[in-house]
Amino acid sequence: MKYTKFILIFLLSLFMTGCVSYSDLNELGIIDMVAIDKIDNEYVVSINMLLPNENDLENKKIYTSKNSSLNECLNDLYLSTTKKISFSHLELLILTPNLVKNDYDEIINLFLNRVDSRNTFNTVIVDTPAQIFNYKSKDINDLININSEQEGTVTIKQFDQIIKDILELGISYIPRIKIEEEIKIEGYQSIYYQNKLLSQEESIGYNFISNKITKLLFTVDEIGFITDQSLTNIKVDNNKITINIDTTYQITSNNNSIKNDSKIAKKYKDEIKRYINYYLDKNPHNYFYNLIKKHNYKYYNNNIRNINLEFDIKITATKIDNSNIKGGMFNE
Amino acid sequence: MNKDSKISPLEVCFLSSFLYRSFYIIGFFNLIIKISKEDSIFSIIISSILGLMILYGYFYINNSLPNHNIFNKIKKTFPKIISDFLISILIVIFIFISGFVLYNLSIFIKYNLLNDISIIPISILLIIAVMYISSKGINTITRVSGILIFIFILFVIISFISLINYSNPINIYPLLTNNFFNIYEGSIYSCILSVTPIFLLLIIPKVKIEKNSKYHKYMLITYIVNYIYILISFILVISILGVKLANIINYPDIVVLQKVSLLHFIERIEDLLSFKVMFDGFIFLSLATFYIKEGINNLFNIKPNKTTIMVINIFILITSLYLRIVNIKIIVYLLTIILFIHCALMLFIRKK
Repeated sequence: MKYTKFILIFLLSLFMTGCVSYSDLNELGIIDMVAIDKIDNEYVVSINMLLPNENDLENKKIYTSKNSSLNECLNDLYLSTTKKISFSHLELLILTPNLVKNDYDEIINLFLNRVDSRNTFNTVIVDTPAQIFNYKSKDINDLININSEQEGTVTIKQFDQIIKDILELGISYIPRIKIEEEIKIEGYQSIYYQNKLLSQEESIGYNFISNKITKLLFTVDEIGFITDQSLTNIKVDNNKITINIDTTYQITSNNNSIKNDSKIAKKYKDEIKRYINYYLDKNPHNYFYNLIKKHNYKYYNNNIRNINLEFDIKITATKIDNSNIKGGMFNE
Repeated sequence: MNKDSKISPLEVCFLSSFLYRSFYIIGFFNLIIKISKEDSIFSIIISSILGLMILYGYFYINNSLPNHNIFNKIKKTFPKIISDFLISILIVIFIFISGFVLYNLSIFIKYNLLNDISIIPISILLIIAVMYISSKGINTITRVSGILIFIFILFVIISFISLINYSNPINIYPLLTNNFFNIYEGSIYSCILSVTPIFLLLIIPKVKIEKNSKYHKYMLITYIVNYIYILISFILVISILGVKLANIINYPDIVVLQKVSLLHFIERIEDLLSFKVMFDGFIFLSLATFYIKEGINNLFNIKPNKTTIMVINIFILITSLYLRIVNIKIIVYLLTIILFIHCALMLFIRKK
């Protein structure tokens, strides 16, 4: 029995250390950003490999390959990198407007079949992916995050959410950024069913409908508004869609020409309605067809090709008095 | 530890709770969601009602000839040729199923934790641990499950509390849109995969369990609690991922754990939390090995020794590495045969 125990301990120590087949940590090339573009019917894949060393903790190297399929691109990258490519800490996927429906199918297949990818990384769209590597993935993620919390134009979109949108709605909206002298948010880019850049108003409208507004700043007739909270509740009755938005707001600046509170509130509500109508008029209604499918499957199934949507937007706006907020931004 | 000492009914209940989930590791969620889609929740509810019949079968056999384990009960009920045949079938089927669970457990570990290591060392490592525990006897297996259940509960609490924020009830709809046959098929698969492994517990004679008058009551409570857990797990998976996404990814129950975040700074703990699924497979393997050993000892009248366990585990290892069964439906058919054998036993067994 003593020999058995000895053999067991020996075998355990042998296998526990993983010495049969292993990868040393310094042999791994951690990728934090991947950019996928399509030029002349060929994919262009760029990866940002983090290579920290004693002298430079932020040392990195960019590798690029061009080929007819994404897997071939990755195979090319394996040949050109000195370290093993690992997507386990991927923070940002960068796509371009050049990608179409089939390309997204291939991208989804690529990441779903990779065992080292978590699929919870953020995704953005950019015109010039090469330039984005001048920035850190954290900077870009923070830019979108802060915009989401303070401005309300776009919100963070994770890759698994995009897959879910594509599978269920056939369309997804991804934040699009522009690089000039600095990086700047343009709005949402619709992908898959339709490839289009949404204006700032359409993007805000989409955020209101999908209940993603945490804070929003806008000005109407020289009156500055901040939306503090917003809760969207959509009711579906066959083809009638009622969008109820319950929101609170503050006034940041007023030219004193309008002093009537109800008039100010009307201006605030009309502006939000304008954003939502802007989105509804110029974009496909896949989101609402899916809602009808979820709420009334029988109606959806019987009228699958003939549903004329009727929208009713109801907004409840509650003004918060700045002077009541202790330590508030505008409290004197 | 005295091998003849009695086992607490609570420990057996803990052990049974792992058995109900022993096939989670082999794609239980994928199978049920693929068949029943949005109506998977109804499949689980129906399967919990159907499963009560299997549980009743277990209670009935357990009450009959309470001094004997399953193999002695078979021997005392059927003529020698038939009993030997039935015992042989049980042994062979459980070797196959154990090989299948071991292979899938190794694949799971490779897929989620050890990407660069091949399956063979993982399987060998697992089988060594299984060999050690099962060689110590049923008391050790129940004690191990008693310890693991607390870790399991901790992981479940962390998972559920973190994931509840991500669930979107709209993803569960539309309900009752699938063919009833699909819902029923899903419930049959769910019932067989979840409840049939409970027959492994028949290896413990009823007299070996302390306060056995309350044992069945505890078992019923465990069964209900376990089905509530399964139901909540399905609701969470479908409400977070949606049916279509859950359908195309492997291990959706583990993928949702990627979203777990404690106080917004403890993140990426899905690998740790995924251990809860591994415990199920590990406990099943330990008990199945012990069951097979008792069956072989009974069939060939071998005196208890360590070599039998070692040979059984080598067989399981070889089965897992060479058969490489990946279709879960084969396991459902094998479990159905086990169910039929126990139904036959129920019909012919004497009460005392």
